[in-house]
This record gives sequence, C-alpha cells and structure tokens, in this order.
Amino acid sequence: MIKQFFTVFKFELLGQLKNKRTIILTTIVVVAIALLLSFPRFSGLIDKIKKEDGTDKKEIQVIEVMYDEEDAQNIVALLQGFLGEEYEVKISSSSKKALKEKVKGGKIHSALLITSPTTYEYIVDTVDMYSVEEKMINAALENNYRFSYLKSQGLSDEQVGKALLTEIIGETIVTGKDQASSFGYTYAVVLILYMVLLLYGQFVASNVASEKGTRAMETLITSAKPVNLMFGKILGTGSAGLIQLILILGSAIGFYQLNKEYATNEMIKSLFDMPISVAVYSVVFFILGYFIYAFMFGAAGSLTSRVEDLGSLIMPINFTFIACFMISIVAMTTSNGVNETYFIVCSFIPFFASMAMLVRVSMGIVAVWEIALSIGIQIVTIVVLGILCTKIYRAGVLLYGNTPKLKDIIRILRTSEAMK
Amino acid sequence: MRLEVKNLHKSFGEKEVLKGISFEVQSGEALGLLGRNGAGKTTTIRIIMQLFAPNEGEVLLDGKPIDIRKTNIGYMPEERGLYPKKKVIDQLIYFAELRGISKAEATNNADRLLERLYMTEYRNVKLDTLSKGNQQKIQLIATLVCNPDIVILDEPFSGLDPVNAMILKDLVKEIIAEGKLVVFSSHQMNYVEEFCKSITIINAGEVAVTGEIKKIKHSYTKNKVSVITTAPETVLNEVLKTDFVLNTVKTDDGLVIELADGATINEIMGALANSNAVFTGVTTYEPTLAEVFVDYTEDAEVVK
Repeated sequence: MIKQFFTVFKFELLGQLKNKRTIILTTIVVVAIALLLSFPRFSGLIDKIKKEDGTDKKEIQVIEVMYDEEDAQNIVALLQGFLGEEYEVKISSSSKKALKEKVKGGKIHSALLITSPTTYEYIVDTVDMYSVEEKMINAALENNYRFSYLKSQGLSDEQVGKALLTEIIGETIVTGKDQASSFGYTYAVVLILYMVLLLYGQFVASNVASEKGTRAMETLITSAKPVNLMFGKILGTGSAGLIQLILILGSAIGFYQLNKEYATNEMIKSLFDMPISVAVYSVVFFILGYFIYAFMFGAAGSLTSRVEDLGSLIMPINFTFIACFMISIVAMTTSNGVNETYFIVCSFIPFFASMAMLVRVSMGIVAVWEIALSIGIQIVTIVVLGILCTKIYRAGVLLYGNTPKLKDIIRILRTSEAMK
Repeated sequence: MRLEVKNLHKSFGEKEVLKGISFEVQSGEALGLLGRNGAGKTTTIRIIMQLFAPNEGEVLLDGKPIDIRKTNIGYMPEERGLYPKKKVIDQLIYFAELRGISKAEATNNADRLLERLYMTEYRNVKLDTLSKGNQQKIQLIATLVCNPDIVILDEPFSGLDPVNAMILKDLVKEIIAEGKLVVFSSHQMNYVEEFCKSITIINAGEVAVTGEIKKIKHSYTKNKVSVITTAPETVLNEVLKTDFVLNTVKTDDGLVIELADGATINEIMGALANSNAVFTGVTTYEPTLAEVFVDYTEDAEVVK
C-alpha cells in the first residue's frame, strides 16, 4: 500500500519538476537573484577601477572669504578627514565666479565658500540622494568653531580635544522583538509563503480537475486507494514546491554570502539577518499552511468536471488566503499591530494560522504554548481536511456534468454512494 | 477464475437503472454485454469495478465478493482517461505500477504491447499528439500493461476504423486464448460474434437473454425457414397460402418464412415441391446477432 503512495508521489513530483513552466520560472528567478545580489560587487569593481585610474577623485576647492587662512587650513584638514579618500579638498585662490564656472564645467566637483566661522556657501552641480557632503561640511565648521572658541576661553589643546572628541558608546538591548529590523525578512517570508502556497495549491486543484476532465480518474480510482492518490498527489506537488523554494532561497543565500562584503543596501542586508529560529518556523508553517490549503484546493478540483469550471470553485479559497495575507500585512505595518488581540485570534484560526503565527513568531511577543497550540490546531485541521478531501475526491468521480451544489456533496458523503 | 454477477439492482434517485442483472463468465472466455444506449451496460461494469455500490445484489469472484484493488484486473472505461500532456511510456508505466507491477516489468510489458499494436514510434511522444484511434490503442495498452487476469472493456471498438478494429480484435482474441477472463460491452455485433462464446443482452436494466451465442441463435431460429429462390413474389405468395405459414419476409435472394406453431421445415419443402416455383435451397434460418439483438431489445421496449 505504501508502495502505491510512493508511485503516485514520484509521478506527481517528477511531473511537476519536469514541467517546462516550472523549470523556466525557477531559472529566471535564480538568475534574477544572482544578478541582483552580485550587482554591488560588479558596480563596486567598476568604481575601484575608476579610482585606480585616479580620474574619479572628487575635487573640492575651498576658498575663504573674510576669514583668516589658518582657520581655512584647519577646516580643509578636518573636511578631508571626514570625507575620506574619495575626495580631495584643496585651498584655492580663485574668485567665487571662477569657481562657479569650474563647477558648472565639471572641472571640479564642488566649491566651498567660507563666509564666516559659522556660515558657508556650497556650490555643487548635482546633489545625489545619499550625499553626505553637507553634513560633513557642517561638522567640520562646527568642530573648528568650537575648538577655537573653547581655546579662546583659556582651555588647553588637550582639554579642548577631550571636550570635543570624547565618544559616547552605547548599546540598545531589545527585550522583545526589534520590529524595525525583523520587518524586512518577515515581509519577505510572508510574501514567499503567499506566492508559493497559492501557486502550488492551484497546481493541486488543476491537476485533480484535469484528471477528472480527461477521465483518467476512473482508471486511477479503480487501481489505487483514493487516500494514496490524494496524499501522493499533495505531497508530491508540495515537495516539488519545497524543492523549488530551496533552490531559490539557497541561491539567494549563496549569492548573498559570495557578495556579502560588497553589499551596501541596508534593506537587502536586513533580509538576510533572519535568526535561525525564524527560518525553522518558516519551514514548519510553510508545510502546515500548504497542507491546509492544498487539501481544500484538492477537494475543489474533485468537484469540477472541467478545468474551465475550476475558477468559480477555488475563488472562496483564494479569497480566504488573500484575506489572510492582507491581515498579516496590515498587522505588520501598523504600530504594534502584531500584538493586537485580533491578530492573536487570527493566529489560532486554522486558515489564517500558518501566516499569522509566523508573523507573530517573527515580529511579536509570543509564548511557546501559543505556538504549540497553533501548530496543534493546524495539525488537527489537516487531519480533518485530509479525510474530508479524500472522501470528496472519491465521490467526485461520480459527479459529472454541472458543478454540484453543496447539498449534493453532503448527500454523496453521507449516503456513501461511493464505495471505499 | 469465475466471475459471477448476481441480481444487481441500482437506482439513481428515483430512476431505477438496473433491475436485477445476473450473468457469469470464466477464465478463457469472453462475455459480451450487449444493450442499447442507456440500457445499463456501463452501470453494470462500474458496479463490477466498485465505482458504484449496488442497492442490491453482489459481484463474486470464485465465490467470494470481489476486491477490485486486490484482483489483477485491467479496466478500460467507457470515457477514455489518460493524461494528454504526458509521454505515452511514462503513463503506461505509471498505471502498471499503481497496480503493483515493478517498473522493469511494466516497461517490458508496455514495450511489448506497443510493438504488438504497431505503436512503438509513439513511445516517447505526448499523448495528445496522437490521433483518436491511436489514443484508443494506447488506452487498451494501459488496460493490459499490468498483465491482468481479468479484462473489462467498456465499448472498446467505438471510434476505431476497420483496420484498427481488426488489430484490436486480434489482440482480444489472443488474450482470451491466453486464458484471461474478458467482459466487454458493445453494440457492434459483428465483433461480438467473432470472439464471444456467450452474450448477455441487457434491455432497460434487465437481462433480456443470456447464454451461449449458438444456443441463443438456435432457440431463436427454430421457427424460421430461409428459402433461396428466383421465383416472383406473387407465385411464392400463392404457394405459401397455407396454415403453417405465419409470415413471410422478402430478402435479396429469396424469402424468410416464419412458421406457425407446430409446423416444421418439411411442410414448407412439401409445399414448394408441389409448386412450379424454382428454388435452389431451403435451410433453417440462421439470424445474425444483430437481428437477435434488435428483436430482444425492441420487444422489451414495447412491453415497457
């Protein structure tokens, strides 16, 4: 009997994996991930080559108007220190107008006019979004001003240095969940869960429906036990989904590790900061959620006699799942939403639990017993749905023609007109 | 093996589809289940295959209730069912494996049957690229690939051209000769006659007649005489104006005379001999199976 299950399992798994659509989709996603995550490395490489040529150093020319030269030199030194190697800060003797021309003509990156110890004008052609130049100029001027002020008040260089340059070292200890940092990977996991479950659940539904449509069902059901057929199909399709997911996530982690030192984007970094426990729970809830939805999709597939009719039958399931996704996203994006009562309730409702509990584990405050209870509820639901779905599947072979009404289904299940 | 169908009753809602179907068949024999559309052939087969439970009656194999999944049985449903988007060989092996055959044996059987039906060139193509007739042949291979002891075919010849029907017919003859038990339904009488020892004619959910074809024909024909003659009809009618002729029907080469009760072929021969009519032969009339079929099913229709 178990052999029969594995026959079905293997057939469905290979059928899914050999599917050209699956292969192409997976390849595209993996290539896209590889390109995205390798991009900083290559763009970094190009920058490095440029730098080595020495052509790309940004030159800032500094002139001081109405101010003494020693101060100007201090500021240049400070600014050079703050801005680092990418910049070359120089004192200039050109006029303001001449500097403006140079900036406009692209000969120099920018010009700084110090008009007083506490005021300046900064001339630059384009300011990119992440520019730190102005902040650094402010800091340089501030430091310079404070330094000379404190000195004029009779403090020694050492004292002034201590007053200005002592660093404060602090650390934030989060006793609950750091929602800011967990948001990124939670969002990613929820999105992946949503897409994969919907995709593979619908594969199950359309597979069953097409077996009915092509009448292969009658041959199958007289050869094998319905329970083996149904579980083989659902586990086979699910395993194909899991393999695809592992390929995609594995390549993502792999390419991230390869390019880790070049990664600058904070958002991407935060995606890979996922704690191991959350990763493990993701897999657990992925599997639980898949079973719950796959059984419902399988039952829906059994009730149609044509693939074309499938749409209307799976719509309620789709809506339930979309609602589950929306609730999770809303809870995640509102302040402390994941710890609100409505969301806690959702994490125990079977059809919402897989996603809601995953979000709570990842972002909220949750006790171990709550996780255990939620998993327990889901397992019970899976058993009930599994039995029901197998019965509907078995009875479905008798239902041809119009999409049956609920009472027809109940009648067939109750009178067990269908044999085992 | 011995398959017995006993007193099957089945209703769908208010409608009584089977009203007591019984027949039996043994290994090495084929039983043809004949009947008009909607007579209950497919329902009977589906009950044998345990797709439906009967309201009454039972199906026995060697005296015990049949368990379809524990019996090595090949079933070809009326509504053909294979995977259109999968390779022929893959699904043949799958169906065999579901029946508990090892992969190696399944591959072996599939290849042998593909060759036998001249289908080897389609081994590795997707099913939906094949013509309807060829798909039907694949369906038969899928039925036989598990090397079943019992073969149940629901309308195996529908949709086949004469050449393919011939190939299929030969294969079915072979499996009967191999000692398998075959039950099939059809309304193509010429095929039935060729390899069926027994038939069961079902009409409106009841067995109209069951038994060996020879005996059925014999019992059906004892009161009909076929006369081969070129004499004009008017002459013949004059000759046959006697008490022992109930009815005459004109045929291509003469006429068929239906005898009254108690009359025999001798009386006809005597009457013909006394006339001036030229006749070249007088035989006991042998009906075709189609005639028997039409007669039985029409009759019951009238009664209904």
